[in-house]
Amino acid sequence: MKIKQSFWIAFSFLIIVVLLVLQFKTRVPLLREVGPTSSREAITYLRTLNEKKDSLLKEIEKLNFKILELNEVSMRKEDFEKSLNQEISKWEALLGLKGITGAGLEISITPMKNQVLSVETFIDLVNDLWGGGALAISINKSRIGWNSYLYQSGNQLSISGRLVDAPFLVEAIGPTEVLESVLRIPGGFEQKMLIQGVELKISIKNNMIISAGGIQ
Amino acid sequence: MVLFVFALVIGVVAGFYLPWQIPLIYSKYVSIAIVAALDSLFGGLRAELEKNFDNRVFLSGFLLNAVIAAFFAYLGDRLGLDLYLAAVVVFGTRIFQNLAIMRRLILNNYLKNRERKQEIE
Repeated sequence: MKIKQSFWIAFSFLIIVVLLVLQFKTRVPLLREVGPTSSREAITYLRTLNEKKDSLLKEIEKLNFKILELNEVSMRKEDFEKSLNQEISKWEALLGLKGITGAGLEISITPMKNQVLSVETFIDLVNDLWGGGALAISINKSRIGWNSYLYQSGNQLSISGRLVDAPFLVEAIGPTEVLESVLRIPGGFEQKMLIQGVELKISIKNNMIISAGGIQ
Repeated sequence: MVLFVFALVIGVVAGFYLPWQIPLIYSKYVSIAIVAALDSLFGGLRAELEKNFDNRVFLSGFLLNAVIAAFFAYLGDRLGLDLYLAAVVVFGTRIFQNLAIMRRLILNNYLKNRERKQEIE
């Protein structure tokens, strides 16, 4: 009888021990994760966390400021890049490396029968047009670039080795009014052509296309 | 005594090697149930020392106290009232009372046995 009584008590003890161990297994990892076990510890823990939060907020503020600074710098850089690109495209156009569209002048030059126009006439014309602010010039669809060369080849004109014949059609894109006035100036190109008896027609076109072809 | 050591060893081994854990949300209720069960255990030990142990009273107290204590804790959580504190206080006090009585009984038994031995000698 006594053994039976002790058995029940020991059995209850066994159940309690099993429950205690299971509880231990559940709680220990939790305590390791959370840290504080009492309200006092929790308050300290909370304060530490608050301090950490404050310092992190300050850090975030600093980093935000840095981001703003870097954005400003990159914007400045972007502006610089933009103006540089504009400059490059302007020079590409002037050098004849890039096709150009826009308003300009169309100059039709028709010499008399058997009349030979000297190469200097065209060199003067091209120089006048450059002086007037032309962005692109072509003669009979041959683009005049930074290294183009003109010379006389018998009765024909050679533009960087390509022979062109009369009638000549010179196209120039740029400020039309200035270009026109440069040509029509007293003693200028128009007058020279009239004296030589060449038929000259200057007309303003709003939409002109001069394709690339500067490099020979 | 041997039975208790045996139960302790088996309980620890079984607890560690059982493949499941008490879900964290029930952990609090199990704690209260353990305190109630401990109270019943010490009550049983005391009753045994006082020679008035009853299996039915012990087992019913052991199970019911644990279940009711866990239920109280659960109810307290639902009501927003720390009812488990009542169980902790009551069972905690009783555990200490039982332990004190058991200590006295063991000491008395020990002293009586010594006196008897001295008388025989």
